Amino acid sequence: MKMAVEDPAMSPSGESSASLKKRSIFRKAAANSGGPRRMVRDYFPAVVLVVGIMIFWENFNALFNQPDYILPPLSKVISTAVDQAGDKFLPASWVTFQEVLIGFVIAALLGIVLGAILTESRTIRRALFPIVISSQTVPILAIAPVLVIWFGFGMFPKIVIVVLITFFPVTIMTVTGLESIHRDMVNLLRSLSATRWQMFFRVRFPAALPFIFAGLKTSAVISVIGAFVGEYAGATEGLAPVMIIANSSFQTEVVFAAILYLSAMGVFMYGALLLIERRVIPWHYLTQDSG
Amino acid sequence: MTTQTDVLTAELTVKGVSHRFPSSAHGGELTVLRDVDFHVASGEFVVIVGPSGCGKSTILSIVSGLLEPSSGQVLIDGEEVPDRRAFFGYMFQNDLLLPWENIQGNVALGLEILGTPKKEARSQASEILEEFGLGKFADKYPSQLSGGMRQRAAFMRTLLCHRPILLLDEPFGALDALNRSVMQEWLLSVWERTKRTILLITHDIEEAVFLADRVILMTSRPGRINRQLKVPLERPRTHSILTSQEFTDIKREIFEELFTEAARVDDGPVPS
Repeated sequence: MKMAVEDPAMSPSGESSASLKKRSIFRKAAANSGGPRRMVRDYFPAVVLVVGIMIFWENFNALFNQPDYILPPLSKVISTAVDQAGDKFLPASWVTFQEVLIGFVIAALLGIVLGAILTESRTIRRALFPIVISSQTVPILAIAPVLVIWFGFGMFPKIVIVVLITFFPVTIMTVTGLESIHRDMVNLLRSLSATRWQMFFRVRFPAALPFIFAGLKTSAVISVIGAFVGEYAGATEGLAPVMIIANSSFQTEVVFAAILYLSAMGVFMYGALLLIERRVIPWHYLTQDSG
Repeated sequence: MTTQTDVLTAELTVKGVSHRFPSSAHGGELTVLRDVDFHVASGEFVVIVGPSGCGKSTILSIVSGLLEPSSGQVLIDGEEVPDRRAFFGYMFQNDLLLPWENIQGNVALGLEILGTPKKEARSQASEILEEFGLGKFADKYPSQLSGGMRQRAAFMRTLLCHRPILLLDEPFGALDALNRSVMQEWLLSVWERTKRTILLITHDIEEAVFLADRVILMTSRPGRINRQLKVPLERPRTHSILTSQEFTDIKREIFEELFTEAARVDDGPVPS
């Protein structure tokens, strides 16, 4: 939090020449990791595999002599996703996306604060850690219908489920990150009579940021599953009801189209996190050869 | 404002320091230091040399005030002080530079922790970097520098804390032999200009002889001081003395002493 204020790369206005220089260092580092030839080499295998799977999928029913509803051809799924976007998928996705986003933001803050508390106080850690861990053993599928009974068919129970399953990776990674600093770093700070506050904001927290982002990226992807499970247990709006209705009438192309929207949401969340990470901790991407 | 060439120094006395750690493997307690006595005069460069595990690092922890000894005293200018941490700049084998701060920010860290306003701390950091030939690295990040450069920055950070006595815990232990020689010469040139009191520990005999006014030899199990030797080599020293007769003689003497001791310890029963 303090990092964000201090880091000139974060502030779009009022840049000094030093901060511009700093930016160019980071940009150079980022550019070094790319290059068109390298991109071809890096992504070629993935592209070949994906295209292969797409061709197989498109021709599956023809090959194995199955009716279309078993595995609707990819082209049909995509045309369904496009044709019914306006009146079906986009409004439903927007509902699900709100649940994902609100749940994820709450979980991120909760996870970071909880991780910090667990690291700073041994007593609280002993008391709280078993509860935090056992919260992860509760089967979400079992508890989702109960949450609907408690909180109704609105957005709230879905957000609760998203928070429940996504705060944990953030918490664990925050704890790991805050404890990652070298033992002698603690000694150095103690020799300077640093306060606990200084130790946390000058060293522990920034050092934890790469770990925290790893946790956030994991959580961002599974938050989509959380929202979906929440909706599955009882919802009137969102992508899950769309899928349930379509499935019961054998409209499998709608089911798959909805899955496409869900996946896109997961990819979007991950990509957004990646962008934020590059802005917040550009130093993490520096390597020795970039100077 | 204090500049780096101002005289800032103090003398250090360690009197009868013993230290025991609780240890279930050694019958409840493990004595790591026994009756350690030594003195470092104002502006003197003293090196403690001894084998790994002889309690060298524990001495520095105790001297610096991070660890209280089981018995004995640490005196600054002949007096016991309530919080002696304020007298020491402590440097470790690991450079401990923060990867998210550039070199200027890293060098300023100590001052900023001590409460100097950020702007002032950074400008002092720039000055000291310029003064000791690291000016062009001020904007670089630690991951962009070599190990030797990072250690230089770490030393600058230690120096900038404006503390009279510097404690250096195997500062060049992670560097290769050639870089280590370069760094040793550099350290001497900085010390000759700043005249701080320095207590350095190492297991490298050559390093000890090259740097020190006086070498303190330690033995292990439990760690105690075996002998002290003055190094009468002329200053300023450069690496050319490494092959001189006088240098090799002193080196041999220390080596024989430590070797005999190490062999004796190895023959004895191993406490476990």
